[in-house]
Amino acid sequence: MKSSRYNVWIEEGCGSILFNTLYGSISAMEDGDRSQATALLEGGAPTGKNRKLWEQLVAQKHLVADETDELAIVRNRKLAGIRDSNTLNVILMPTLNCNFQCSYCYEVHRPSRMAKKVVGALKLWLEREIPQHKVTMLHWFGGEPLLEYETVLAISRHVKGVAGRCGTLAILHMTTNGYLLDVERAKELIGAGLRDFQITLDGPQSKHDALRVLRSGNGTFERVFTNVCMLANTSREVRITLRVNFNHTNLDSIPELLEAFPPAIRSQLRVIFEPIFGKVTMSAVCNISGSAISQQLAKHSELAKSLGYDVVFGLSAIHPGKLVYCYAEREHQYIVGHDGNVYKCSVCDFRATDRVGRLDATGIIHKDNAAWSSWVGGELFSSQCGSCKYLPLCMGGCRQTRKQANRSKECSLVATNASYLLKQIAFGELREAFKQV
Amino acid sequence: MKFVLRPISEKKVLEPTRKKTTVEKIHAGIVARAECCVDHLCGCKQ
Repeated sequence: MKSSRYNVWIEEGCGSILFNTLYGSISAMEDGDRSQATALLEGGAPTGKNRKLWEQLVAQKHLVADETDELAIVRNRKLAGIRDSNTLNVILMPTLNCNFQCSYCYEVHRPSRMAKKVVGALKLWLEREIPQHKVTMLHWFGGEPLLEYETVLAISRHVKGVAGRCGTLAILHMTTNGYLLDVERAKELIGAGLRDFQITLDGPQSKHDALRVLRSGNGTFERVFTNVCMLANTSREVRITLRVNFNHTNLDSIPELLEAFPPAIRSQLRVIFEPIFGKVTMSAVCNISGSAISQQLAKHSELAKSLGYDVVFGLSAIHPGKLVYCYAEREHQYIVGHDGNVYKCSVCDFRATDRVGRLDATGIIHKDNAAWSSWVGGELFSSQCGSCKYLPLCMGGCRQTRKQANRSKECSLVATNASYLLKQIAFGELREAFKQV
Repeated sequence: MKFVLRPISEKKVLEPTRKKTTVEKIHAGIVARAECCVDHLCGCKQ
C-alpha cells in the first residue's frame, strides 16, 4: 500500500484532520494517532499495535494499493465531464444592455436586442437539441435579461414545452439585478418554468447603493430588496441565490443585510459571497488579506446558517467528485448571444475574437473548430497541476486564464464563482472550512 | 481515529455521466452541487 497523493493534513484544535481531496474522506485524530498515521502513510509496516489504525487508513483510502494511478482517476473524471452528453447547458443573452451601472462590472454595456430571426433560429435549434439530452439547463444572463422580458418569456415557455413533449427535464435559471421584476412578471416567469434566480445585494442600503446604481446614479436597494421578498413569497418553490459581492467597503456590513430579510423567506435564499475583482481600488484581494477574507467568510456563513438561510458551509461544502472546473469546458455547453454568435465563457466582452461559433437562420450552430477545441480539447491540466494536492477539488482552474499567454505555468484557480471550499483554498485558509468538523 | 466522512465511490462520481443514468440522479447531483457557481452557473458577473 502507498499513501494517497491527495491526503491533506489540517491542524484543528487539539487534534488533526486528514482530508482526502480525491475521495472526499475525512478522518479526525488526536495527536497520538497522528504520529502513528504519519509513519504508516510514509510506508511504515503495520504492527500488532497499530494494525487497526492501518486498516482505518485503508478503509478511508488515505492508503491505496500500490498500483493505483490516482492522477489517471482525475483525468478520467475530467474527460467524463467534458464529454458528458446527459446534460445540455445553454446560456442565453437576450441583450448586452443593462439598466444598472455598477462600479465594478466588467461588461461593456451596449444597446442590443435579440432579433426575431435569431429567436426563431434559437427555437429551431432547441427543438433539435433538447430531445438529445436527459436534462437541459437554461440560464438567462446578459446584460440585464429582463430588459428583453418578452423574449425571455417566449423562449422559456418554448423550452418548457419541448422538454415536456419529449419527456426530458428542463431546469431554468435567471441571473438578474431584480429591478424590473413585479408580481405579474414573477407569476408569468414561474409559470414558464423559472424557479431559480440569482439576485445581488451588496450589503445594507448605504453600502449597496454605493456600488449598484442605476445609469442615472440613483440607488437600487429598496426596490431590489422588495422584489426579492416578493419573488420568494410568490411561490415557495422559488429559490433565489442571494449574491453579495464584497470588498473592503462592505465586507463588515454583511450581517446587517442578513438580519434584514424576513425569517419566513430565508430558507428560500441561498447566500453566496463573491470577492470583487478588477481595479485595484475596488478589488477585495488588493485591499484585504486572504486570511481576513477567509475568516470573515466563515463568520458570515455561520451567521447566515444560524439565521435560517440556505448556506453551504462546513461539511456540506465538501463535495468530492467535481468533473470540470467550469461549464465552459463541457462539450454540450453553449452561450448564445443576442445576435446569434456563440461563446463558451460568460466573462468576456462578447467581441468577435471571443466567438467560437454561430447560429444560422435554419437553427444550426456552426462551430469554429479551432476556437471550440481551445475550450474542450488540448491538455486537461497545466503542468503544475500534476503535483497539486487540490487538483481533484479544482480540476485545473479557469481555462480562459490558462489560455492566456505566459499563464500556462501559473495556478488558474480563481476565487470568484468558486465553491466555498475552493475559495478557502484560494485564500490560503482551508482550515476555516474544517472548523465545524 | 474517527471517520467523519467516508470515501465516495468512483461509480457515484461518474453516475451523472453514465449513459444509463436517470434524470432523477442527474438532478440530484445538480441540486447537491448548487453551491458551486462554476460547475452550475448562477452568473459570472465579475
